[in-house]
Amino acid sequence: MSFLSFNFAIFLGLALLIFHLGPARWRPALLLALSFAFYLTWSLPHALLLAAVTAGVYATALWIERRRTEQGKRALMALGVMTLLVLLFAFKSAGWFLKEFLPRAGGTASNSALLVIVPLGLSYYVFKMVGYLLDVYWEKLPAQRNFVSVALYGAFFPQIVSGPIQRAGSFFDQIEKIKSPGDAEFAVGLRRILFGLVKKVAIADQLSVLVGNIHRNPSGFSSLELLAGAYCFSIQLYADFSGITDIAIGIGLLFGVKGPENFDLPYYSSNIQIFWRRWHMSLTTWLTDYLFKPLQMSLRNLEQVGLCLAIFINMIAIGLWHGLTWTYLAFGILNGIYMTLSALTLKQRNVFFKTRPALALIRAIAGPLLTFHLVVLSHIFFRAESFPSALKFITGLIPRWHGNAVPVLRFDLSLLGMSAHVLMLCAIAFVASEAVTWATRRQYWIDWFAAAPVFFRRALYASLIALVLVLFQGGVAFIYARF
Amino acid sequence: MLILLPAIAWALFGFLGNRVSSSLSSRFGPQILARADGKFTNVQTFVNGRLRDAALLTTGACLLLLAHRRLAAWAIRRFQTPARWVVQAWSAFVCLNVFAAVAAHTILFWCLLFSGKDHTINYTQYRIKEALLQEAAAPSQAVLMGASQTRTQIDTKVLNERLAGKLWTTELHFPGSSPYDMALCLERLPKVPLACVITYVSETTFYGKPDNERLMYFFGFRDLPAFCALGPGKPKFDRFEVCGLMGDIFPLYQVWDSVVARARGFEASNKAQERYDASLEGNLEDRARREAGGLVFGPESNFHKTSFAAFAKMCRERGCRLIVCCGQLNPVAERALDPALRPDMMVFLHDLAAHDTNIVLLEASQLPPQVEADYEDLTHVNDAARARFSQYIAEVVDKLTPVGAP
Repeated sequence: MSFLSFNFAIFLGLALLIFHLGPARWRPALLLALSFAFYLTWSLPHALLLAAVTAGVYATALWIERRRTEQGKRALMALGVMTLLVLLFAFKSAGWFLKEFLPRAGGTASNSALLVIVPLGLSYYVFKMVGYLLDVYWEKLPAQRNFVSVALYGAFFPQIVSGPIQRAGSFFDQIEKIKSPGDAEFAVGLRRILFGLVKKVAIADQLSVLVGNIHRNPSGFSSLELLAGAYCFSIQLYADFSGITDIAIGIGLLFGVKGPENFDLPYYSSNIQIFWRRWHMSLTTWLTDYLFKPLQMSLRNLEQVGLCLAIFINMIAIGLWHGLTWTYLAFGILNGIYMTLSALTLKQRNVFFKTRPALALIRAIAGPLLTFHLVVLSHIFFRAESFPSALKFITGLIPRWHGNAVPVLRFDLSLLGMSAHVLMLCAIAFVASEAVTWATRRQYWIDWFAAAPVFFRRALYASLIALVLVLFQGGVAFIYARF
Repeated sequence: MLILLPAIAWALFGFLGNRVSSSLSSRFGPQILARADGKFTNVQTFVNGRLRDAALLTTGACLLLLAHRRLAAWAIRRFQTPARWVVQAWSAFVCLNVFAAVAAHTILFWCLLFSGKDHTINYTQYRIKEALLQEAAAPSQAVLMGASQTRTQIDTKVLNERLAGKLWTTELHFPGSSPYDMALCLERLPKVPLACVITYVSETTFYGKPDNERLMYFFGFRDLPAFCALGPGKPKFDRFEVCGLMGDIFPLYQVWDSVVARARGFEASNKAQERYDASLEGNLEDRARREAGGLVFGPESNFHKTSFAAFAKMCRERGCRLIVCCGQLNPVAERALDPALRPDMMVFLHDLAAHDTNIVLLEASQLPPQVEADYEDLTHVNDAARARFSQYIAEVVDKLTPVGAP
């Protein structure tokens, strides 16, 4: 059941009815039952796997806490974490094996087979559970006695499809005193859902046609068209992922649970390090806390080399978290190179610009522009159907290397499967959504909107709902739902 | 006001309905008939029916609005926010669904979603034609059922011109229909005096893979027990069946596609079909070879046959004759097919007809022959061939239908 379906709307309506009209003390249990009901609509065996993982993690956390010796605690933690990571690796590599090796051995792997193989939200709930076990081991968090809380942490339905990856401590605090959300919180939740739907339907889904056409056959397009395709995919990915995050956070708020933010205007970052602090924040902060910092500590004797290694491993982990494919590996490596170079030269750059104040404006403009283009380049690997296809795409971008007869400056929207007015709509919607995101971080604009006439707000909501209904295409899955 | 408005609507309909419909039909009759494209002939009856629909829709809207206001007021007394909002939202949603259920039974609602013959989605067109069955003035009626092949072979206008006053034929095809879909459609038809059902079958009817896309419109809870009892080869129970069941609970779901297609425009809603059409091979020989690969013996073909037998049985139980044109395909397609398919299909149909005198089999040898030049693609004939074929069917139906039947 996709978030973008009539069935899910009905499910959500029923869930809200049950949750809000049910007795307050049963709410966590009701939410757990609803979350498993949601998961069951995807697959019964995978729901059983989720239940088994939850039970295992619950017991392991309690055992870690009860062990008296550090060695015993560490052994249990290692066992729990390794089991979870092996599980994740096994499922991800099965998908990879089917995709990469089965066709070479004469077999075929359909998309549905790949979907059957990898349980929904596996990467998200495994990372959540690993984080929980490590927090208990590091004594940042006491082991949770209430099984329902742990089970709900893993299965919470708004977050299971594509995150955000909420920390156990923040989740348990909210669940223990879960109550009916206040009016303001509920209204914010509804607004977030609507905002997410607009991003998904008016931007991501519209651009998906153009991006899909170009990536299916990059050699059939001119350099200019490929460049447009590369830009469009970065915007599509951002709109799609931030859209589903908004929906997930919004739904969470309807049930009184506030999830972490995942984005903070990433495309205006002045360098790549800042970009990664603002993009998929729940994953990057998770990896920083549970992978990068421990690695950095253990490699601190190697000084700069250790730092570079830690960054590199961290970025490769980000890449491979998406799936065990060559393209995600290339995405991770490329970002590892960016990050390493950026970390190594940051001091020198700062000194250079500090001593030349006249260049400050140039840095302010060129920094985000350069960062954006580096990201766009790495996203080509992220989206490409295969590694050779990504290389073909990149060589096609350079007119001199563009090896076919297509004029390099051709820009034919009909060939891209898009009309000018749809492209214009996407551009307007993107600028508007970024402006809204920017404004929602400033109290002045929040107060201004709250003080706006009721008629204006209702008309705005009604038009946005109408826009979503009219543009809704169905069938275009969220990109991050497959991880 | 909400109580008064329905009363006013019905009073206006009662006192002025006939006068208004008569005046409208005399002023705009030719335009309405041209747009109807032969779907009905009596403009005054049509307009009068739509005025009645308008009164009914007004009544439904007012009463449901009243009910929602009552429920909303009760929720305010009973619950705190935001639980109150959830209850109010559900109340609005339920009322909207009840309205959709009422509206879906009126022709006016479907007509409002109609944007021209070539610019309206199939389901909307189907529902309009189905609803119009009830307004046909002829003593008995016939329906054309089946896939698009049936529609392109037989022109109802030709039949209605020849059999005027005796039998009114309505074209009720649905693109891609399998025998199982046809049975579901027949089950849902309004209880009108039906003299015969006409269908055109070929190898594509019995040997293709069951494609359950249409089940989202025609499948419902009442079909579930029979569906579960069906043997091997039936369509896999998936989202289309679930959509059908959802449509039974939430009528809004059933009318959603039509409403959205009207709001977004036909072109935007028809993209999937356009993509499919664009993906077809330009060379008919290649396309025939590819499609012939999908027409095979197997549990699916047995399922189609069983469904067709059930369809024939439903026709008999309803007291209407089933005219089966065992027609041909484009010779290009026939050459690519497994030669064992046609004899197998004919054995099945003969066997069926031998046990059921209600079935009239028109074999390919009896039907007007069709050559490659008569076809626009592998299955669809051009207008000239259609006219020829329709004349022949009109003659057959004329002979089979006594005056005043059934």
